[in-house]
Amino acid sequence: MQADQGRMALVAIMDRLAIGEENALGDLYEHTSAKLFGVCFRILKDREEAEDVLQDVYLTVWRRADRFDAERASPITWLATIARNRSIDRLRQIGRRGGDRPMGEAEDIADEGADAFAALADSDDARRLTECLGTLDERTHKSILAAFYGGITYETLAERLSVPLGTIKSRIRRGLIKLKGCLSQ
Amino acid sequence: MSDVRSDDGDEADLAAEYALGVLSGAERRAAQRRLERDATFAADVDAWNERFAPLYEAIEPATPSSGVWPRISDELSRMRRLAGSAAGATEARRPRGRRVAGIWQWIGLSGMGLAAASLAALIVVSGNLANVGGVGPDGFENVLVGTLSNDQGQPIFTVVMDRDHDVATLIPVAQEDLGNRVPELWVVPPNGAAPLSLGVFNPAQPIQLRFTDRPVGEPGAGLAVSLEPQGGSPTGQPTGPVVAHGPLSTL
Repeated sequence: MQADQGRMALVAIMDRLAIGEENALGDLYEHTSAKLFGVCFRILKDREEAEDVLQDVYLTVWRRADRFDAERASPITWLATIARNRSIDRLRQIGRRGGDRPMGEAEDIADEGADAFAALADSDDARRLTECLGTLDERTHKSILAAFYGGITYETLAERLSVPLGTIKSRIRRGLIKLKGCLSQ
Repeated sequence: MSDVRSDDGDEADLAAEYALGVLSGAERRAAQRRLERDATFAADVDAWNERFAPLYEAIEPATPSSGVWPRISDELSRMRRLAGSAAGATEARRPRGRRVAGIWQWIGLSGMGLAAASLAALIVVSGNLANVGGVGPDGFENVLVGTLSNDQGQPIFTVVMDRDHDVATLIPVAQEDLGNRVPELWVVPPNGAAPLSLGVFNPAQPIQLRFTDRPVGEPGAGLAVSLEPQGGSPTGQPTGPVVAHGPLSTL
């Protein structure tokens, strides 16, 4: 019930943004910045980079608000997806500059994904996804979660998990096909 | 060692891989370009985003520092001014009622080659763009360059536009005396519509500007720098003299 109300409030704000109402962006920021910053920080693991990307995210949302379609997507998913994609773009840029990732990142990435998995909130969609991830073998669903929460390439994933590149690609590709099948049932 | 057999043997769902975020830089940018022109692919990616959506529930919210919103708000005000000029541009395109000042139309339509001297500067500064390693043949498709010269043909600025990241890097080549005014960078669409501002900048150092409207950075568009009051043009259109101009082209 509460989630529905939140969604309606966000859809209303998105409508105001789509017609170019400037105050709407401040309202959106108030309601969503903590969530979206959480997403950016999760991927980038650096406050300054995450804040920089967050700024970019809201300006992108301002420009693209008219593309948001409440019939097709939930507003928070649409926003979180932009935040995550912009963060991944930044992550790739940092990689291209040859900058090493912070040392703290040597942690076991597979477990990081698994912890998040365990912490999944229990909306209907989350339960369904949890169920379907559960039909995959453990290595596969851990790899998919590590990829999602890390925002990292196959190559980096292979390195971090100490698995050959071909193996990780194959594992994730098969897992995704199976996941899609399970979720469409 | 690599497991070639299984790598080759599996069907890849590009939409799923993009949504999951496992593609490398070049593959990812290719997928992003496809998103813009392939509605079926975009719908597939949307569907995957929805499938993964519950995973966001497990991400802890975190409070950004208090300085972030004011920065967004300032940038928004600047973009609002531009939106005014962009609306003007649309208007000019449709009923062709509104005419753009001659100099601006001429900048948009004229063609000029790149000056070799400023190309050298460009390559040094855009080293990170060139260092994309393993990029496919389309790696530079979205990088545009231009040299802005004064009326005597002397190069004043070099510009590199990375349309993948909506960023323009502006490199001063020679110094001009600006008095107490500030330079503002403009894109002039190739169809001769009204110029769109990319913002004011400090002419003493290389600077990165975010563009506000993707379609404006296109091959054949013109770039120009005008001198404006502190804070930029008050009208959203160039008001001061043009000190440098030149065309944009692909690298």
